[in-house]
Formats: sequence, C-alpha cells, structure tokens
Amino acid sequence: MLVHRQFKHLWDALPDRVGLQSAQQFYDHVAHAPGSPAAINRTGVLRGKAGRPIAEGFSRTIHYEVSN
Amino acid sequence: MYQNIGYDVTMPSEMIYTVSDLSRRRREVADVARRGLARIRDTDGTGLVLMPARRYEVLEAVSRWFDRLGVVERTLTKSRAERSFADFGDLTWLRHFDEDDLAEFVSELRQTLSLAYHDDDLALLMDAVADWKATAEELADSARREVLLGAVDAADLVEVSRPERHW
Repeated sequence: MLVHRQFKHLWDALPDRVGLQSAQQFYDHVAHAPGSPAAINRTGVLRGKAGRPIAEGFSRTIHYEVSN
Repeated sequence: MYQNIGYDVTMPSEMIYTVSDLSRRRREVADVARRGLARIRDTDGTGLVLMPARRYEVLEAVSRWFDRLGVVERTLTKSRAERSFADFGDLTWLRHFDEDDLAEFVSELRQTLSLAYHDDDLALLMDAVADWKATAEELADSARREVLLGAVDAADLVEVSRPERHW
C-alpha cells in the first residue's frame, strides 16, 4: 500500500490514535478491496475534482472513515 | 399529479373523512393512509392528510433540498469576489469548492432528489450529501487540498506495511 509522504507520520501514528484493530481493518480494506463498501466503517467516493484519479490506472479517490 | 411510488396513490383518495371518523372508522382511515393518503376535514373545515411517515420524510427532505439548491444556484450567479460564506445558507461547507465543483454538486443533487422523490427513498441523496460534505472537509485542510488537487508524482508515495503490534 502506498501513502503520500506528507502523511506518513499520520500513518505511523494511526494504531495509537484509533487502535491496532481499526488500523488493520483499514489496511486490509484498502489493500484488498478499496472499491467495495467497507464491512465495518463508512466509505464513499470524494466528489468533484478531488475525487478524480490522481493518475492513469488509479481509481477515483475513496474516503474511508476510520473510527476506534 | 400522482406518481406510482409504491403506495396506491395513482389516483387521489376521493373519500374525505371527518375527525370523528378517526375514532369510529380508525382502522379504515389508517388502512387508506397506509396505502398513500387519507384526507380528513376538521370541524372548522381545515383539510388534513394522514400519510405514511416515510413518505412525509421524503417529501420534507426533497422540498428542503430543492430550496437549498435554489440558494446555491443564486449564489453561483455572483462572482467569487462578491460571494460570502453566508450566501450558501446552512451549506457553508460548500465554500471550499470552485465553480465547476459547485455546478457538479447542483447537478448530482438534482438527480438524486428526483430519484428520492420517485423511489420514495432518501438513501442515495443522503449518501451523496455525506460524500460531498466529506470532500469539503478534506479540501478545508490546506495540506490535504494540495495533495488531492495537485499533481502527485511516484516519488511522493512511500510503501507501508500492515500495522502490527511492536512490543
């Protein structure tokens, strides 16, 4: 899974902020089924220009709400 | 005009009940209301209707959102320089979008409003609003806005692994 370098520190802090289980659920969803609705948390597609694929081969931008 | 929305309202109910019918013929009135709409005339002549709560909620939400879209469309006629966040009414979070996105918002919401009205279901409308609002919250943060709207290079991305407990 790829993370923008600007937010790497937030990724590293995710287990402490939301709990290991929630962080793992997020990783598993994004790594294996990013285009499907999440089994536990809410997902949606960002709208407007923010939701467009960042490059060829990328999907539209998914918004995943991680909660603890 | 009456639409087929799952209730039996292809024709308006011709029967007009009285307030006392709510006691004497309550089962009949309730059954008519469950099928779409029961008309009741109060003792002073005021017309009342009884309908499924779900249908009322759809009508209330559709009319509220129709009004909101009118506010946004009027705001779009102003230049960005003339515009203030208050021009968006209770949708102040829309100020984070540019003209193209706002036009897309209005277009998408109009389509989902039509579906909500005809399908008698607010789910798609509520999902669309939640996604637009989530997008606005992302764009409100300058760092996230830059990443979402700017060009992203492969060098900007770093690989991460599944979080594991490190003791």
